[in-house]
Amino acid sequence: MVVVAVGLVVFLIAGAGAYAVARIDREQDTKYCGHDCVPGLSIGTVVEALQGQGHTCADKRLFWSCELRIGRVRFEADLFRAGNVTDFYEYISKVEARIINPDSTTAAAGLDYMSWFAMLPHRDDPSTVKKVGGWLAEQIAGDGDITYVLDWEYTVERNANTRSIELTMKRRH
Amino acid sequence: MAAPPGWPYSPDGRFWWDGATWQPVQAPPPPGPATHGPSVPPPPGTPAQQGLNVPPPPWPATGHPSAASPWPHTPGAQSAQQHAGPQAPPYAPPGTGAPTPAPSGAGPRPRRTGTAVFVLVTAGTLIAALALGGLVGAAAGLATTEPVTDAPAPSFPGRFPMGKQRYLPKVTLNMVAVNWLQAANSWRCTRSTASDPLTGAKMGMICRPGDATRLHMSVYIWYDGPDKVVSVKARCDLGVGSKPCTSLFSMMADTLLSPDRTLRGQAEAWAGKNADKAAVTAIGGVRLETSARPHTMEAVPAI
Repeated sequence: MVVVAVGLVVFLIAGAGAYAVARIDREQDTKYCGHDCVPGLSIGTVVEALQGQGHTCADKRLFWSCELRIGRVRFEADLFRAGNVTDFYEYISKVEARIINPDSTTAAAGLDYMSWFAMLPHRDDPSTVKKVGGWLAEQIAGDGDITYVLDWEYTVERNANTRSIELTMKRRH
Repeated sequence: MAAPPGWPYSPDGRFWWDGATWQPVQAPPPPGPATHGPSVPPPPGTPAQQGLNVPPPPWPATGHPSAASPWPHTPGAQSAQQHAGPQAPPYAPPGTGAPTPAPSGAGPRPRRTGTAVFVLVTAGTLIAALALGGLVGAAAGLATTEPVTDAPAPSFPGRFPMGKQRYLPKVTLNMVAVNWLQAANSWRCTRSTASDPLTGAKMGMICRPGDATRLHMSVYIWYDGPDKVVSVKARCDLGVGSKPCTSLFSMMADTLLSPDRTLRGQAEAWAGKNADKAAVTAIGGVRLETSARPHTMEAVPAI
């Protein structure tokens, strides 16, 4: 009798744990792009959101390119499709966001611009979003660096020749 | 052979216990020094070699009776014998039909077997419950949850650049080209359909004075539509410090901020003060930047 009761308790605990794990895994399912993309967020949704903010976007087949120019300052973002040799998926595998001709008066807008792209894979995790944002603020004010956050690689590079600063975000392999 | 002193005898006196087996009692050897070595007992378990008159030992040949025997002490002569020497198992003469004692260690075995079975059943039950629960839970989780494949885009931060920031606030093409330059100063303006590679503006307009200074002064207006002015840039090549250049820059700032009476004076004053040097400021959503070489002042939206 005791054995049956203990077995029932173990059954329920194991079932609840497996249910929770399976549910989270299912919600984060990225099998549609080979575990190589921003989970759950289609590239079209991101493009529409940017267009809603007045950015101009164009489909370049391998990626979507969106830009907004304010005076001399140019905000550009290339959203790369996930894919292999034969197929492409409508999800984001890599983001290249750059600001051309930034100056001291565009620092706040530049940080918010890059932070939005950097947070996409972790949008449901406020602590990670805050961590990425803090790192970005340091790099935008400095010369740039590389870091890894939960299987995503972030690189910030400043190019003096093109007077630009660029963020590259891609899945870490 | 006779038992050494202190070793127990069977009740009938025909056998003595040597600690391992019951040995037949033989006639004592003749007195005098021993002329032959100790007798070698026959190998256990081979009655044929032991002879017909030698009963098989009623106790297993292995193990020490004093340690392994589960039998209680018996009263009487046997008890006295056991007290006098090493303890022996109860004697059962051959052919009496007395029950053969169980081998040593047979007593506790049922209890140990029961415990082992209980442990095995419990462990098996727990493992089965764990595996079954995991399978059922995982299946339920996968079956009742759909993968999120089209989540909404996250909200934008407050300073995220927006399209409406692309244009000078409340500034129109008419305000600059018609009201200020053409009507008040008799300037002439020419449209351009070429886009501006720097700002991306779709259209442009260049205005110059109608008199001889037309070769030394100009105002470029870049815009996407009549009320979508992207940038305004004035250039003056009459020399740094010249009054017409300072006046041009001041009037331009005054015009661009004219919708706000408070700010237009502030902008005009700033431009007059900084017309001959490199400086930058933002007033009322308009970013003003002056340069001495080339001698220019440019207005773009402040981000």
